[in-house]
Amino acid sequence: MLLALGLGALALRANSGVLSLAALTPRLEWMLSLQVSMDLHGDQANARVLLPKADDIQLVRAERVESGGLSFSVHDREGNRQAVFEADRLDGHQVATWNAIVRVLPRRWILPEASPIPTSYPDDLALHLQPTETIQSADPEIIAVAKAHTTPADVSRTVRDLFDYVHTEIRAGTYENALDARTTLRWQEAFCGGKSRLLVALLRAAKIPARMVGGLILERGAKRTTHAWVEAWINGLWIPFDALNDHFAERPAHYLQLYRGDHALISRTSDVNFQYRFHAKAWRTPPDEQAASSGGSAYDTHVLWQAFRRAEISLNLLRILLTLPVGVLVLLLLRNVVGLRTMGTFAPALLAVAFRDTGLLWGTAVFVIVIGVGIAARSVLDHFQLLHLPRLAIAMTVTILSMLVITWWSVQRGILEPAHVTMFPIAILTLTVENAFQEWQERGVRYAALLASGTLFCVACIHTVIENHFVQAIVFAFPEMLLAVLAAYLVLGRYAGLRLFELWRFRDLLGSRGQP
Amino acid sequence: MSWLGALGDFRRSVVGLNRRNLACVFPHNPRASLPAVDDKVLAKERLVSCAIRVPETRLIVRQYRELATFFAMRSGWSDFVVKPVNGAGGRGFRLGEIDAEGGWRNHRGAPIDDEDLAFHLAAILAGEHTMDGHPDSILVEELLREDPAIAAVHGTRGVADVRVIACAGRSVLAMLRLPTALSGGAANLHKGGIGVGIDLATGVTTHAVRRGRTLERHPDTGVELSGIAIPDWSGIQAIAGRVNHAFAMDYLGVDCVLERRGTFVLEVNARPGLEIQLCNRRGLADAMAAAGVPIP
Repeated sequence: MLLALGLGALALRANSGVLSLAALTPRLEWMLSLQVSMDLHGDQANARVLLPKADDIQLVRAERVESGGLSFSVHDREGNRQAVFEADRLDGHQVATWNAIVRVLPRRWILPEASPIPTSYPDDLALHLQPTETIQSADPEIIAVAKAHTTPADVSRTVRDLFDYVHTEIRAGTYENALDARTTLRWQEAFCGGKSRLLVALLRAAKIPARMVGGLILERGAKRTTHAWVEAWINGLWIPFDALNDHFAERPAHYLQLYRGDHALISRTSDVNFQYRFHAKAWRTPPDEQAASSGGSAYDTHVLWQAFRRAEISLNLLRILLTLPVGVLVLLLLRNVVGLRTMGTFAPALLAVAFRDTGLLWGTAVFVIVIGVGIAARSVLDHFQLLHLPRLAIAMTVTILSMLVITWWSVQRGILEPAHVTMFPIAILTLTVENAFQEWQERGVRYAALLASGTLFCVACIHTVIENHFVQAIVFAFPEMLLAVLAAYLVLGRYAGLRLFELWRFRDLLGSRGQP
Repeated sequence: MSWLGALGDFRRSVVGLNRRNLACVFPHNPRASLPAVDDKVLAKERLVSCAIRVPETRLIVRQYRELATFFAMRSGWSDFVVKPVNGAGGRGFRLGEIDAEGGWRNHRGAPIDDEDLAFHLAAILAGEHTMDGHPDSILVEELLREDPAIAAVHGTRGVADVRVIACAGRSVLAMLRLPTALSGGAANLHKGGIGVGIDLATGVTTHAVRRGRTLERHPDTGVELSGIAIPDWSGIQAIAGRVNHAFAMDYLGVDCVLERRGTFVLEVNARPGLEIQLCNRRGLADAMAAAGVPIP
């Protein structure tokens, strides 16, 4: 009945034409941050960093700068965006952070067929045919290679042949990125910078305007390494090529462009100990925000959530509330159908919610540490023979303190995930510690460890399900789905079958009917 | 018979926790009558009113200040057992016996530290051993003296008991529960006690299981566990039937102790565990159907 209601309401609304999966699916974006730090001794100093620019294939939004004592400004430099962090008579360790949400729309270009290489270009493009110090396109060796691969009547063929030459003939080496085009050609080995410079030089020698591009390959975690690729002017368009990673006339979704030209990412005054680091994490923009940013409503629930937002109710909280019943459903399945044993009743579901911010790995580590510290404290307390409630109060305070220490440590180390441990449900953790300790005392270490690992496994499963973006999108767009969840609870409430683990527990009874 | 058929039989006859609650506890043990079983003091009153022998109640401690009464009265006893009135699964159980010098000794024969005992009693009052964490009372009873034949099997100072699942006035499944050195004097299976199945027709033990594993002999005494004839077996079955009627519940675990003075009922349990199926090599659903109470 409830199932029918829930699915019926869903079908009704889906039918009214507002549903499209694209509108439901969260969008993958990246939360990119760049942290720069300098050790200063009272002089004037600055560091200049090239920042990504929004254009038609890459989106850069929600930019934020925390520059501390440094002053921050953005300037145009040869069409690129240059950020300047400046210190005026500052001392000590200064840190500044630039944050933005970025997204690259992957794109692939189709090269024209049988189009000849133009013989002349306007001045602004002819600039991209000139040799430079590192891109020696007038060098006889480079001209010789370029000639061997040039088909004047077919620009696409020429580009393909030159690309293939650099991609396959030049080995992907571990040399520094600073190799110039001629050295790359002679050594027949280079990394992204060398390969790109050689490809630009060969294209220019073949009379195809080309230029360097500096960028960042977006992937989870911290990195300092940037990437370089090439753009060639073909039939009125600048088209990207990466001869190291074999991207021919395409920009993958994790290639964020930072600047054009053969520049260094960073330039700075010399006497400061300067450090920088990029940090990227996958950032999924929920459908409601997409709808908000696109100005229209993708589905009508959105209007409701907008009202919530106007009332300053956190949508994040709302998302937690809506996915929690789904998490509890997973918990029920694991407990009543699989037969997993866990500590506490709802504890695994609540912990899984808390793991949202720390991530599964850090969440598990932090959970194990907090519980471990708690149990250690608890076994010390046991000697004092304290009454139940005061003992719990002490356990809670120890839990809070250990969480604070973890937060402090993680902030110090610049690893932000474990810092979110403050979101952990303290009361639940405290009771979990008490529970684990008592089980340990009464039924032994093995049983307590079994319970703990069962709990963690359960948390991991719930976490995976409630962090699934499709699940999130569905319950967010169609809260009536919770009626279907209720129906599932009802079914489980009448499920009388053996749990999976009970099949194992009573395995000796298999095939032995009646009295022995 | 095919392998699938065997699995089908298995699933029909063996009862898991889900089915126990849905098919045995909920329909046969009405919620309203549960407190009369769960509260050990009320349960004893009911048993006494039906002329069933139970261990003598020495004292019920309801408040912290009455703990002094316990220690004051103790000098007049030669033994005692303390347990939480609303405890389950043997939690919070402790015993004491006086020795030749007039000192108190625990189930291991070690001297009892009074301060430690007082703390334990206070913890019971605080509700540490109840399921819901509510404050509880302490039941102080005499220590039952076991039939020497049974006592020799386990060799601990604890007390073995016979758990009978009673249904419709009949015994459905039964097992002998033996304490071990590991189980702290308690016969509860999850604490490391041993369950030995009992053949209902003969009252002779069959198959011993501890923590899911088959045993041939008692690990502490080396006594063979199968083939033990339970003394007063028909008396136990009759008592289980009477208890079953007294509480008007059809899924009841009755724990009987073979005392030197006769058969005593130690406790009644409205949610008896399922391990009894293992040591009897028989599914609960089969057993209940045989007793005329088929469960879905």
